[in-house]
Amino acid sequence: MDDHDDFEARLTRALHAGADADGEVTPPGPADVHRRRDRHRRRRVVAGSAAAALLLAGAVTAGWAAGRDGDDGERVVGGPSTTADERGDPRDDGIVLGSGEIPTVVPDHRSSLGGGSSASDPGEPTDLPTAVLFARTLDDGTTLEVRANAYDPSSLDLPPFWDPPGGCYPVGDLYVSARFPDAVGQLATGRYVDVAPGDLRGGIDVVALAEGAPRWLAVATVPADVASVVIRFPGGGEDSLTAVDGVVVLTAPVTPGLFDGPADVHEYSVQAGDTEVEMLDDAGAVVASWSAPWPYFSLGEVPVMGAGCTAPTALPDPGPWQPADPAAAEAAIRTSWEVMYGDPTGRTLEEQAAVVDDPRNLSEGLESIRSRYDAEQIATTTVAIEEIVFESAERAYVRYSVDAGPLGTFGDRFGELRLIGGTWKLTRHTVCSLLGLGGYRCPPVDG
Amino acid sequence: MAEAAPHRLPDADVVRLPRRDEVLVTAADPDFDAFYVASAPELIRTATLIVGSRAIAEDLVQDAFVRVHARWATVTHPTAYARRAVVNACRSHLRRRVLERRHRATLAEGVAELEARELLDALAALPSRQRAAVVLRFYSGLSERETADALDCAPGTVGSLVHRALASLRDAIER
Repeated sequence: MDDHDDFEARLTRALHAGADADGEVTPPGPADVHRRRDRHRRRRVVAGSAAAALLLAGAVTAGWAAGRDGDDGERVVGGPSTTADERGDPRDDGIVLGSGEIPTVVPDHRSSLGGGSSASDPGEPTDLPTAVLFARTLDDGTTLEVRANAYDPSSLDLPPFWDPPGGCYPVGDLYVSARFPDAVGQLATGRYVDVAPGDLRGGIDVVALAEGAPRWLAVATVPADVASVVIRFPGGGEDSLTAVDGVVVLTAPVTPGLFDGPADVHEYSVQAGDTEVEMLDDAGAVVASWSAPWPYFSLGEVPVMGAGCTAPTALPDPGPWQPADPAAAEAAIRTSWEVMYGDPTGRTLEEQAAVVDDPRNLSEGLESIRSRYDAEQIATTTVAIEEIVFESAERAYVRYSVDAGPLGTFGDRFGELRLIGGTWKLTRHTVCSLLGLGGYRCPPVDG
Repeated sequence: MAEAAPHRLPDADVVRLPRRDEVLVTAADPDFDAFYVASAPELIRTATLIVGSRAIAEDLVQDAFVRVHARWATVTHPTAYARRAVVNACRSHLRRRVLERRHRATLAEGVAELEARELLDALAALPSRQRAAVVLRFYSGLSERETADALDCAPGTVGSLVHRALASLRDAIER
């Protein structure tokens, strides 16, 4: 047994020991599940207020400011790159549309795709670029500023021959900066396209806790056939909004009695109930309505299996037009692959870049492959093509595996090569996908 | 044993009572009940490793099964569906970081072997997605694809999560 197998075996033993550390598991009977939904339970949660987190941390994260007072005595809440220039003309419904172009970003641990920020985790400020989608002003002076960015598609680690249905994966981040008359807060969630009819995708949470004025705050992407959304938050607060660019942002005070105040400032209890959602079309007809127990805020929180969101694990069938000499084409593909992932000794960075279809801004990433090759833990890494399928005489998909020695083996990965100028070249997506496995994120091509 | 009376809110008028069609059918549902009995213990163990507390895990799994039951008629892969519901519930819980920190290390206290305790402590220090990926891969024994399904991400992302998690765990116990 080699070293990494042994480590994984020890880890597995430790996990089993931990799982049984508290003795035998004896869950209550099924009847408890049947009764459970009928009860209003006390849910212990930690403050969802970004303001609370930032204020208590005693620090303002770079690019963000949130607190009770600014230099001019007014409350301050803002996102990165907030400038007046991004604001457009006001409409007559309290909405001011943003005019800035939504920036393309490489998702990382701070983004929804990276898992750092999320629907119920608003205390995760970002310094990723965003642009204002719109700002909503309510009658009481509350302003809700909705900001967004878009993920660089080439940075997503999906099989190159698979286009997932809309709603499966976020295409960017949505942020809400809320300024209430007596408090501030923020919320982060993923931004989606092509949300399935009847569903919505977004986040909901309690914010402005530290100020003792808790509010429900929700932001979501809606399906194309939905013009407006009416929400009834747990406990009874209601709000509604006509969707702006397919996005709604909604808020209401947390009903007295539903919130019992912080046991300490980070922790409080809410008598959780359901969030009720009604979606209306242009004519005001209800096209969908449902309720979900807080903190869920989407029918898709637990997507229906088989909805097409699971990535394929096999190469597609060959296309109708194949290379005249498939053996030679396969050999040429393996040669290019070897240039990229084989021993770089004696090869220049330029030679490696020459087997990538779009190597712009990739020199740092390619250099990382070269330098890591010399590192002890990477020296034994092999990136081997397991199977090749020609989608056409000029495009091929490969299934490959990575054996990273003590760090493990990663199989069933997919790449793409294109025949350009007589050379089979790895696509940028293929190179960046593997770099991402090692924690490196390719910059945007125009970044 | 008589069921505990529902908690009465100070202002009961503002709390919407469940509509009749929202109240789950309380009559026996043999298929669901059998599925629950068969799968709940293992899911509780999995959730325990992710959130670091048996008591919280039991609560989260119960909540998850409420959601599974609500869709029972349309679920075609109940095991995967329930697992995903539980992982989602765990991740929602872990976003409440203070509680997460508070419950750290409690899991390891009940384990005798020193290295196992160190590994469990190191596991508790991992970001929640890496932790869930490690638990699903090395405790539940799921494939990369099954893990990706439970975590709602691409299979390649699981490789990256596990890769980073193993490196962190190794670092932690070799220090």
